Amino acid sequence: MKKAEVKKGKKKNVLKEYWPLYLMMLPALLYLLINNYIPMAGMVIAFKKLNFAKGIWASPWAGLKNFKFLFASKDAWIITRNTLLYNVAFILVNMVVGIAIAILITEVRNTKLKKIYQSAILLPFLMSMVILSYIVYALLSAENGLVNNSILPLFHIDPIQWYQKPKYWPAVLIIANCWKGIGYGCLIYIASLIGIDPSFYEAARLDGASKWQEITKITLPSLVPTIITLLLLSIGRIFYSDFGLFYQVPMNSGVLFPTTNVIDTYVYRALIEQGNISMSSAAGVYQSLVGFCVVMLSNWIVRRVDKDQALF
Amino acid sequence: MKKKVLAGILAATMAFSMAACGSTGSSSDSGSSAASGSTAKTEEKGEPYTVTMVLQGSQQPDEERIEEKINEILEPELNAKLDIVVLPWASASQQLQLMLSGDEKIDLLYTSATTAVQYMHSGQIMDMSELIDKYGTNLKDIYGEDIAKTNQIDGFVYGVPNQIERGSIPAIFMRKDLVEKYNINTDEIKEPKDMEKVFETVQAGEPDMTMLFSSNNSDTPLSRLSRADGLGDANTGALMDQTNSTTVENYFASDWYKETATMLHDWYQKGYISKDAGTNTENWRTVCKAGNLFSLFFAYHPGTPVEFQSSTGYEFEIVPFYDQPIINSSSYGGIIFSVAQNSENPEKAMQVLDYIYGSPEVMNLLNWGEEGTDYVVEDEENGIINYPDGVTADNAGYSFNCGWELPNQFIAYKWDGSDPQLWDKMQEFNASGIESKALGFVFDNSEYADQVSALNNVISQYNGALSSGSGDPEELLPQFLEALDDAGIDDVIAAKQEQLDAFLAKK
Repeated sequence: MKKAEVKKGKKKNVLKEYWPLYLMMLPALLYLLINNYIPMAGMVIAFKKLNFAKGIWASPWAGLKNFKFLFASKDAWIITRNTLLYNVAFILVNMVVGIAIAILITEVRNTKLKKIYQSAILLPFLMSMVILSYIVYALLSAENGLVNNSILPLFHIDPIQWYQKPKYWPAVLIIANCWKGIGYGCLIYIASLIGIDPSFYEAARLDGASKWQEITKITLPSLVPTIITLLLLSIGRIFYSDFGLFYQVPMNSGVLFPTTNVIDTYVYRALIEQGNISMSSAAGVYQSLVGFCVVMLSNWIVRRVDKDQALF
Repeated sequence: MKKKVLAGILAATMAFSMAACGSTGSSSDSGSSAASGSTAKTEEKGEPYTVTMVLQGSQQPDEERIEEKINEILEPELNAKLDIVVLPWASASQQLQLMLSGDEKIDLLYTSATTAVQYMHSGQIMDMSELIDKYGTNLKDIYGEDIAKTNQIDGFVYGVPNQIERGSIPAIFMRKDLVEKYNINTDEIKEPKDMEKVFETVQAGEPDMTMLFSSNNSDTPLSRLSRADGLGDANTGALMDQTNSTTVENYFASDWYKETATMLHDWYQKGYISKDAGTNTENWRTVCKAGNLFSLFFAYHPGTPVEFQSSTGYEFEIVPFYDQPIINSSSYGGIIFSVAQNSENPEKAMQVLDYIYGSPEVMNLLNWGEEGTDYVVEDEENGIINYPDGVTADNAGYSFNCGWELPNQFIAYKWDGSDPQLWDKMQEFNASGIESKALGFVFDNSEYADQVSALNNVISQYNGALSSGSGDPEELLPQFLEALDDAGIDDVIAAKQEQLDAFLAKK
């Protein structure tokens, strides 16, 4: 009894003491509630045969029938595989290239040039995917593309029908995503690189360390906390894909679906082209479920490795 | 494009946010309005009801001015107003889907039977049969009751047909100047594959030109040549010889599909079709206006020669591949108007729609704008009009110019250069058609929604490449057919056959 009372009192005190903080949290909580929690009720659509005339609740139940189309063809497997593998590739490539470029930029002595490089690399990040898709098209188009008309002939390679050959697209998409997204990660790495105490480098140089040794022994270890934070943030979104990248950049070319179809584009096509809301929300529920499992799993792994770094 | 992205974002969130708005959307009822019973002109008082009509095309700068003019007619007649919403071609189907899924006010919409059946199954549009009975006076005058209600499944009328050509004839359209320049004998062209020689000759002289238009959306050369009766949706089986046989076949496994795809791919490799055909989504008119296009496959009917010349600036030599059009269910279901479930006053919507079918004034206003400002009558007897002095296609305030998309173009004026007897010829053309054995039948796929979805996914993956000529049938077709099998096409075709047989037995 007494213990409980003490606990209760303590709780009250916390609220009293930190109420401005709670007040500040309130708008964000409301936002989460309205945007992320209330709509969860809509998951019920995935199990209904939706009829607008009857409304959601009065529409007849369909059981798991809406999920059947996902598994009728090999679609469910392909879109799950694509979404996961692409995201893993994006995370790794962007991390490695981002750190490399961040180190290169911080090594530039001339401050003016440094600023120019930094802005140049951030610029693609601010671009719309539609523009990116046309830049890629200008390179890969069969009729007028730069690659087929100017670059491949130099090596005596026959022109390639890029938009007809799925096998090239993992590489194309990874490069395109890297080119576009690298600037943002780079900025964060540069910020933490600047934070490294210069006396480390001075001491290393006095001891006769080479540039390479400086990088591997001082720079990289100091970056580890930043790397882990960014890694966990991206793992949390591993089952979401950049719709614009996968829809716009391959120009919606059907032949490329085996390597460009991800959950988001699949749901979009199912809803817009076939107008079946029940089925597309079934795909949405499937995305949420698998996404939930992946996040739980990766968090569990991180916790086993280093408890303090885990998200929860 | 940007709108597409936006639509995509909306769609992605839609799956979940539907819950919030959908439940209120359901309260717009269909029952209570039907109870209000017959309404005579004089009985009605109060605020006029505004009927929202969704069309597709290019937005006109002076839309409001025309709406006002239309309302001057509609208000005293029907105590109603008309509000036109014009969705851009490129994103129209997506936007319409979102409008119907949400709670937006929309009464009448322009669509096609295939799409309307989807809307019907998700309860987004209303049964029009009673509305036609009560208010479809003009409709019944024009078509007779049977045709006015031909677009139906189990008594649910999902749309009424526009007055357009019935059926069309696949044809080759070639630029006349080039046909003359290279002395091409058009008598020698009997079927599509005879074009090969023509392309060879023209390309030798014009190496930078594209010989045949192709794209990766619904407007592919293969689809333009097809004469199969899709019975609502060719993806789920079709009649390949609709005037003689009632056997539903797999369209994609047919010899015709394979031969045509092979021919197109051959042309693609020879450079007659643009190397970018597999990703091209541009309209052929845009390509043609740029001056780089020699020919295209398209549907011929008496109105096409003038329509093509006025929209591209080039004169065309046209060679139809058949003598008569075929009339099938899609001839009456290709372009229809439906009443949305969201309509707050379907009776009024139907009255307005039916009124337009019989009103040259409203039709002219909708299609051409205001007399004196947007057009002047050149030839009263034949109903030919043209721009007033100083007005051109570039600065016109209102020139919708999509008569086929409006209820009844046959009562409206014709644009300068049109055949003075155009509408008579059109009626004649329609009368010359041979009927499909399955006329009036539309497949109800509601029981097979999961197979149909899986099939559509497979088809969107392969069909674009094959029917544009950019994909190699040797490699893709076997994969395509196997994927269709996996997705259960045989079950759907069997069901379609069963429904068709039942329909024929009743007939």
